[in-house]
Amino acid sequence: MLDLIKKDFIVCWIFLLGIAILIPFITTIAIVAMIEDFGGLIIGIFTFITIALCIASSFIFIGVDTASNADMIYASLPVKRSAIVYARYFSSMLQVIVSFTLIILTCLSSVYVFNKSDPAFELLLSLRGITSMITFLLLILSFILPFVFKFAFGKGITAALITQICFVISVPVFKFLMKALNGIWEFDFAFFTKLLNDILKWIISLPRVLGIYAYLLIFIIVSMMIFISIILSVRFYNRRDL
Amino acid sequence: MENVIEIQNLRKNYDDFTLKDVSFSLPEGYVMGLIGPNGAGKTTIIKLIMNLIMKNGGGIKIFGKNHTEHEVEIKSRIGFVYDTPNYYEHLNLKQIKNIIAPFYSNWDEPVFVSLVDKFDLPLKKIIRKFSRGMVMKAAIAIALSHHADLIIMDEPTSGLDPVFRRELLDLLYELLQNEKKSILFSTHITSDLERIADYITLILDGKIIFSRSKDEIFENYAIVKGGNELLNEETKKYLKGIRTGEFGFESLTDNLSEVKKKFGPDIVIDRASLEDIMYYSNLRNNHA
Repeated sequence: MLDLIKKDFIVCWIFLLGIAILIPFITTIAIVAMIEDFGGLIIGIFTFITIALCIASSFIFIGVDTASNADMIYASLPVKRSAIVYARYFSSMLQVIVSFTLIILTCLSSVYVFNKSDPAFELLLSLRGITSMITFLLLILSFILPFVFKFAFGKGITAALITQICFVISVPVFKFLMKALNGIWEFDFAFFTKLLNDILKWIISLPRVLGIYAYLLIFIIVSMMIFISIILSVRFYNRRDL
Repeated sequence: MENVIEIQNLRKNYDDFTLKDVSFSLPEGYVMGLIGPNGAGKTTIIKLIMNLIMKNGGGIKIFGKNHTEHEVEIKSRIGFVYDTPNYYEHLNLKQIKNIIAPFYSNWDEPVFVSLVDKFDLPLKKIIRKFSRGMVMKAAIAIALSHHADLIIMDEPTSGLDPVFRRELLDLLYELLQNEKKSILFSTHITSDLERIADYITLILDGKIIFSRSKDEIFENYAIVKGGNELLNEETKKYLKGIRTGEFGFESLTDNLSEVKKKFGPDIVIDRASLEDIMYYSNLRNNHA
């Protein structure tokens, strides 16, 4: 597996170098533009940029392999397909973390350069902010990768995006349906909504209640999600025709 | 004599193509040519052997072992050459070698260096700047540098000019002369195989037509020419892909001795090349 991870970095070093220049550059432009136009960082936009940069950069390995049709090479080497999946997860996750570190370092240097503390910077650069972002990034990656192993790169990314959009759309659709059906059915949708809200509030309050254990809980949950994602990917890739 | 490859009733279904109950075997130390027109199923068979695609039925044994259960062990003994080797075009041959070599415990660097010298390949030139022949030679150098017992080559000579093809076959022949290696070589350029193959397997429309030794094929197959009056229900049984014209018929037989008995001295018999065999067999397939 180590050889597979090593080859990812041998094959992509030139692209990784480009990414290492591009990420701080784009991040700086985004920070400067937001500070100049809005007087501070817009956390939503900045989070979106961070996710886009980190996830896109983590797909450099799969992208380069797909462009070179390298799946065939590795599948014909004396190596199990599962090892190819494990290596791909490791390389991609490492790349997500490296990209995020670059963004954090750019944020830190921006704080120093602009000599201006921003509440958004404080949140992003806090342990809670960093942990949440890394967790979120790894979860997104774990969500997308099984699609990529099932349908190959292009179709996999498209399928993952469509699924994500469906998830996002499902929230307002669900709300609309609840409103529309309330009164038609005898079922008490208001109670149902309140129950869901209570559960969400409870989840959000967990770090305050559990303190440091909340991080442990998050770690366990994320690890489980990644584990499930890897199991699915191995299953899909083992059955895929190359 | 042990079989290096044993395939039994292999099946693979696609929406528009089916590989139907393919069975053949390759004994150790021999060269088998897998021939057939484009789209006949040669690459599908090779991909199934390499476990690059999943079979729908049947069994594959390589070196006497199930090809999926012992995949890593088996693949460490196989040298595989693709029809279009997929190497990273922005890397040079040395970098490609550095990526692939660690996967083989018996990688032999001096052998690789000598092959690179022999093939006159530049180690530091990026693959994008290689000609197709050079890419193929690079693929062969890599495939032969870990003392593989079985070499599988999928259309290694297609797209190469005749001079280059001849050179490549000579190099291959020379390399394999003194070694107990087995080769499965798929091609639609049958003349390549007449020189180096011991066994020939013909596949048409996903179905094996025959899998026999080359000598046996040339003993039994022949082109038969004669007058149209010789054709009747009885004699047609011995002929494949009959082409009739104003001056007579021309066809293939796979039973030369019987044809000689049935037709007597009234026919002309010519040696059938592998290309003839492929052509007439396909004709029968299409027009029977």
